[in-house]
Amino acid sequence: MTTPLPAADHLHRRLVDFVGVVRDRGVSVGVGAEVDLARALEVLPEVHRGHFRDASVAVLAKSPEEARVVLQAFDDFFDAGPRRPGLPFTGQQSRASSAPTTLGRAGRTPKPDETDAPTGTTVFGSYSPDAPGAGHPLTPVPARELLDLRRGARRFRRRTATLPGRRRVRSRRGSVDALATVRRALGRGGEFVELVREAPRPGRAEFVILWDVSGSMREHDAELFALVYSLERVSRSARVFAFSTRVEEVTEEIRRNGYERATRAVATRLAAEAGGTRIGPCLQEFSDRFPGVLGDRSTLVVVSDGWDLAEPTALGEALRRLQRRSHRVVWVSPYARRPGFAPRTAGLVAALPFTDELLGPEDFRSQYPLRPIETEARTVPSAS
Amino acid sequence: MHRMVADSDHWTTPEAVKQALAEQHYLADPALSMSVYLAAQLSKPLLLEGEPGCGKTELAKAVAAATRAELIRLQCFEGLDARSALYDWNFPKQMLTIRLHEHESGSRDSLEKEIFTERFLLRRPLLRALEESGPARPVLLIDEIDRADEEFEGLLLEVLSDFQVTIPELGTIRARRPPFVVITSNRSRDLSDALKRRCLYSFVDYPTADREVEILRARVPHVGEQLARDVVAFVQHLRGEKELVKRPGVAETIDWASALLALHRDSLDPAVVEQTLGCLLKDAGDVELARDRGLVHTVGA
Repeated sequence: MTTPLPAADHLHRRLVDFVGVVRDRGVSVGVGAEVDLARALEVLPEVHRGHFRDASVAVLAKSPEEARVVLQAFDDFFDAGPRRPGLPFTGQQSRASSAPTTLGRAGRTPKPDETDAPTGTTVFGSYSPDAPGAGHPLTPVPARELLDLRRGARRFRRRTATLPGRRRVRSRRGSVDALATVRRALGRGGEFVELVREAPRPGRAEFVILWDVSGSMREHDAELFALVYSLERVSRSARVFAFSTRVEEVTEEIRRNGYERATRAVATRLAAEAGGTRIGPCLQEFSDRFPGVLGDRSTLVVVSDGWDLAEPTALGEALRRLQRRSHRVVWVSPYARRPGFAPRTAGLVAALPFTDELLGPEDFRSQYPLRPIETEARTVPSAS
Repeated sequence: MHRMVADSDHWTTPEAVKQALAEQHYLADPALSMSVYLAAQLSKPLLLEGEPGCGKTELAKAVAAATRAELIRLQCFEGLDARSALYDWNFPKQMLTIRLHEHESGSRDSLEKEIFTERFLLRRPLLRALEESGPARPVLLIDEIDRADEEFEGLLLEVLSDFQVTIPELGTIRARRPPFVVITSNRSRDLSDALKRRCLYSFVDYPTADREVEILRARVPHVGEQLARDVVAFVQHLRGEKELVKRPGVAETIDWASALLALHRDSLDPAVVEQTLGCLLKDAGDVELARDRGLVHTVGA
């Protein structure tokens, strides 16, 4: 069935309204894509609802997750009529509640003045009126501490870099690149005056970070977020996922903002996240929803204390599968460097056999040597 | 009835695209037909993402066949660079010319001008696609771009947005008409936003069972209805196993059905599934898992 759409002169205004709704729901749509959609509607011989819908997805979405958001936004928009000023879309939802909950990328980040948070401290739960009243503070750490963590993160990156790749780069001491030497000679009238050398380029570390934001981690939120932020910043292709009872990607909130803005953006994004942890089901959800994220070069960093309300065997099983798909698995526990620490939480005990390294946040500070904590539980070989 | 024309420029509706592709035994859903139609009309590259074996590369082949255009394929790999993708200079020929020049009179300037002309230029797939002058728009397939380095995406930006290439010694070469560009990715890594912005996007997912039966019967015409349904039911069951490292795609379904026909089978039983499991599962761990869980014995269940 096809639903007639408004006349062409009205169509562009509807299109702009519709794109506004898509942006409100977290999909990053540039003006170029908006123009492309208008052009797409012009080249269609007849514009009915089905065509408009398919064209919107083809032009505006850049991932399957975004495609789902665009489709839902389209259906809501054309079922509900035009957007009214002052209301996000249908007039029935607040902007907070229409914000994306499962979108993988480019979530729209409310500006700092849209939150009621006091300066310097952002409170989870202050953004959405539907979110639990009690939030947890996410306070930026001092700049010196952040820089220290950043240095530790760089050291960690060098240490976890994968083996040298097949790609070769110029080097003073490597082997002679015959073709490049000939090419260089051509520029000198065919005379071989110097040899061009090359060496394998070291592989990059690719981080995938799973960050536990449940209630038991509240007192460590500030420090661990600074660590997560640092790890994201030192890797070109890191992905960050926060989890408690579900998984939310927060990469864009971190990537697009400086530290303090990222702190506010992430706190806002995780406004409704509170309560217990279901690590195993969350790891499984991560595995199902983001199947292409992990690869041979990925280092999976799980930042969690291991308090798990779900069945621990589910955690072990899920982590085993993730370990199989990644280069290595590193678990960062806020208690790992405390005196007398031993892995006692059921989640951590279940996870350690499938973890290559156990570290504490202190290991990322410059004064500490970065060395994994030895535990008896880590007896299973890392590679399957 | 939609008018059938050879060139993708002249596709009149998304439905015409669907029909033209169907004639090449490629069954596209409405969303994919729309993406192909818009890519042709707007001269934008079409980025296809999805699991391996779901028909991304086949789409480019089907478009080329439907439009009777030349298919120019660039297979991406780690370390792919401008010399392999765009152009290179014929160094041996240049060296020979320099040596010959040493025995002749002539200025050094004229020699330099001579050896950096089109005569010494080796055209790689991207440049060939821009210079192609056949009757139909060429189809440029940039396959598995996620295997290439991120730097290579930067190289593609000029080619894909302006359909031109700048060669310092020769100047800027512009396409007489933009090729129909299909870029595929298996999502082993994220592509850059800059590249995605220049493309129309379509995600090619595993088909539904009914759709897969249609595809199978279109691609393997001799397979019977019942065998096709049994094959598809088993493959869909395998795809439900989330622990598999590599789930079978449509390509594997087609290969398996072809293998069964070659074995003169018109029905499935556990023994033949066991013997031909290698057509579907390409990882030793997956085969072991399928055996351990008795998946082979679910045939016909």
